[in-house]
Amino acid sequence: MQPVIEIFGLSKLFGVGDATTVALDNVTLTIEKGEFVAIMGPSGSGKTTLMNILGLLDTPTHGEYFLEGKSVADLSQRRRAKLRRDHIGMIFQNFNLLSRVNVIENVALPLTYRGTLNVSGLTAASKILKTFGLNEREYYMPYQLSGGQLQRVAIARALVAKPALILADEPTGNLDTKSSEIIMEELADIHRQGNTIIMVTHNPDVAIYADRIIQMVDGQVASDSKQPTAEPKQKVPLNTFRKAMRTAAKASIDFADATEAMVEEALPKPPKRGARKARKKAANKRTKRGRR
Amino acid sequence: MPRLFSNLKIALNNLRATRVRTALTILGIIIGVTSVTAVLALSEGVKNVIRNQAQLLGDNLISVRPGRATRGPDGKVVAYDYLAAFGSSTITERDLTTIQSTEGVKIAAPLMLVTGSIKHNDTKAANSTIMGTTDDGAEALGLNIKAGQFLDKKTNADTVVLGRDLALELLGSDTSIGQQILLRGKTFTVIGVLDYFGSSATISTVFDMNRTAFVQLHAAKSFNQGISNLQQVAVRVKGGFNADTVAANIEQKIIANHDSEEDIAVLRPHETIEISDKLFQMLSGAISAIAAISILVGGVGVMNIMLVSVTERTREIGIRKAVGATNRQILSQFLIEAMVMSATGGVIGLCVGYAAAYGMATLYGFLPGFEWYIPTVAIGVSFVVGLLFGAWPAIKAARKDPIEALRYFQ
Repeated sequence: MQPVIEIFGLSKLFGVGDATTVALDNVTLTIEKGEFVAIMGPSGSGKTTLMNILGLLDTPTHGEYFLEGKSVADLSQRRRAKLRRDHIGMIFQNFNLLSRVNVIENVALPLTYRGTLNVSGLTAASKILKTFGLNEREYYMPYQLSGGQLQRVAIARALVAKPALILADEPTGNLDTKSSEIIMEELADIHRQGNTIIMVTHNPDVAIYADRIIQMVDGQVASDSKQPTAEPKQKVPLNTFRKAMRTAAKASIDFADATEAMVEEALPKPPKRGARKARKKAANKRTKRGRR
Repeated sequence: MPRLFSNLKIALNNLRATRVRTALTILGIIIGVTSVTAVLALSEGVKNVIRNQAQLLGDNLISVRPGRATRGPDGKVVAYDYLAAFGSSTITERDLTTIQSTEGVKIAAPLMLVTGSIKHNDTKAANSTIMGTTDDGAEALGLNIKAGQFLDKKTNADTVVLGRDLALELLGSDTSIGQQILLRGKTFTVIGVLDYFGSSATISTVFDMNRTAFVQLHAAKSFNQGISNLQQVAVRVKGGFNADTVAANIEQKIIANHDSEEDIAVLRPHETIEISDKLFQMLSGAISAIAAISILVGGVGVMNIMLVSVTERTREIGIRKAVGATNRQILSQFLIEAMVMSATGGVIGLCVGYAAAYGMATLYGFLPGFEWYIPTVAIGVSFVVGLLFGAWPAIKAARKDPIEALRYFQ
């Protein structure tokens, strides 16, 4: 099968002369369709630079990048913008929603730029928000939502154009543990539906959801290992979480937090706690700087 | 199309979010467009008045004026020496007799304008002029008497005939004959009051006949150290004579009088309009050019606010680019925002400008004129201003690096 991403000898240098910093040093990677990759590594190891290049926001100094088999080296800015719009969904640490625009229009934004009719764009956005249990919040403004909800809106926006690749830059970096877990469950679920996800994170607790972990140090790939994926990460019937969420949302429309609390209650405790802990430990070992 | 629509929606959303400064920016454009619209509407109104006036004056009226009129090959006046109107007149009393003796001339009345105060007891007339003429003046100008009589060969030098509005203002009545008034401090007896003369502002002959005191030419001369200074000779052509031919004859004779110096203009009624029209076109052109400067100032305001907005919304630009907006889409978003502001200002300015013109015009007793070029100019200019002054901020927005923009914190 055609890999989603192939990069060969990718380097990125910042500055000139003596002030040159090497952000990426000869990185070669292949990411297959359907993979959930976590890129880990200390600050300054080039994770975000790599993400920016993969997301076509930045260009490499050297090396080649093939997105879905096509080189992106000689593309015009216009073509790159269109690729971002149609093939890549981005999720950011600080959500990056438009603050003056309501939830549903934020989600529909990529479709708007595709030229989709307003109505069909909003319908698609509404549909995807429903799967995230946010259909009651469609006309809220971003400042009226909690952090976890904001990130779910951002994920909905990343998915609305049905991209081939989802890039998540520290998606849980600004969230508390509980919200992080919800977000990661969502991402894991998206992954199970066959989406390709590349995620940058510091946090080993978060990295365990991925099926492949790439460690970066000083702009180079230090290790690249797969973890068993077949087994679902949560021994809960797949849609329990969402169903609970929807019921909760129906019961109490006004309080976002109440919803989340009810969801928490509705969720059965993960039965294989021991197994998860073991995997966490393994992830910790791989992280050079250890747990925070 | 859906993109234009969504851009419009984004623009309106953002403008609504910053209401006060949007309103102030639009105000800048409104002021500019208002002044241009008002100037144009007023000058069109004045032109209409002149045209009506010329119609009232009649078709067989020839006016002889100082200053050379250059004619094109088709006989139309292409240029007129306006400066001659400010110098002392080149028309002499000898020219007047020459005109009167020209074949086909029914009557010829000299008009000598004297500025100065007109008083009755303690009342001083505002905006009024003294006009020296002869007994032919009434017929030549088409004036009708309401009470008393017009000047004739037998009336004394210290008699005066008043325009209706002037009589009403000074004497409180338009039939009070025999009253004494002061012209430049000299006592004159009112022997007649004129009927209301058509349209009030007679710009084509530079005075308002309803606010004029008519005196004998020699009385007017006495205000000017006995020297005549004829701003105009109004000539009526006899029936059966071609006004153009008569005009040509008069011109020839006077130029002969003046040792072949072409320093007068002999004008047919429609030509007096053309000259006044041209003068007004120049004036209104100049004034609207000055007013247009204020539109430019408004445009600078738009640019200023758009630059602030682009900086403030750096992060938004980054987000939009990250989800796939092309540079052109960002450009058009900001350009449309600028143009929405300036076009709104243009439309409002047009309305306010007409309202202002209406107010000012009614104050002077006429109506502002409407021509299609006025709204076209007003709204067209505001669009162009929006485009010009919105372009740079929009380009700046479109060229922002998405990574830098996403990292931007306020």
